[in-house]
Amino acid sequence: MSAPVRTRRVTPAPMNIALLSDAPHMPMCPGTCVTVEHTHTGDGLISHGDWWATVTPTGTEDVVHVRLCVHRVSDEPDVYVGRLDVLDREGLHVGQPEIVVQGLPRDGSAEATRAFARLLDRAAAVLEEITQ
Amino acid sequence: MSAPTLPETGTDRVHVPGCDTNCSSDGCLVTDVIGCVAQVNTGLALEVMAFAYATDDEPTPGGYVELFPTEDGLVEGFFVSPTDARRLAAMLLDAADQVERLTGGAK
Repeated sequence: MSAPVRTRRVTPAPMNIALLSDAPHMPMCPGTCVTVEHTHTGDGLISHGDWWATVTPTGTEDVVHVRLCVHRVSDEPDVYVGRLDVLDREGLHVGQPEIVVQGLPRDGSAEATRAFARLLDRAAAVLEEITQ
Repeated sequence: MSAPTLPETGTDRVHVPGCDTNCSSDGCLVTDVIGCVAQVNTGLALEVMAFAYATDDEPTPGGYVELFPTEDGLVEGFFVSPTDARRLAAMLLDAADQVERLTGGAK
C-alpha cells in the first residue's frame, strides 16, 4: 500500500497593513485620507475612482490596499493634486503625485477661461512644491 | 423671365473677423485651434479651440473657448503634468485673447 500523497497548501503571505497606514502621507495632504481594499482578478490592474494602478500580476484573484492622498486646489472646477499609494504582497508602492482636473469651467467665456488658466498654474505650483 | 434674385443671407449681419462671408443664414463660425497637450497616462490629447460666431438672430459676434479631447468620448477628468498644466494655461490665455479679438471684445 502506497503512502498517501500529501499536498502542500501554499498560504499567501499576510500583508502588513501598517506599511500603508503608517506610511507618510503626500506632503500637503491633510492626512484624512482612508485606506481602501480592492480585489483584482490577478491581472494586477487596480481601478480606484479616476485612478489606475498596476501591481505585479498574481494570476489569481488577490487583494491590495490603496490610499489616495489629496491636496485640493479648487472645488469648482474640481482640481486637486493627488497621489495613490498601493500595498500589495510585495510591499508598499508609493505613487507619483499628479494634477487631476475634474470638470471644466461652466462657460467658455474669456474671463472664465482666464480663471481656469490661473487655476492650472496654481496646481502646477502646488505639485512642484509637493515634489521638491 | 429671369428667376428672382434671392436675398443673400448674412449680408446684413456683422460677420466674425475671419469669416469668408459666404456663410449661410445659420451664421458664421470661425474656429481657431490654439494647440493641444497630451494627457498623462491615457495618451489622449486635449485640444484648446477658440470659436467665434454670429447669426442672423444674434448678429453681435459671440465667442467661447472649448477644451476637449481629440478622440471621441468626452473626458470628464484628466491628468496633467506640471509642465503640461502650464502649457495648457498659456494656451487657454491665448484662446481667451483670440476669442476677444474675433468678437471685437475689449481686452
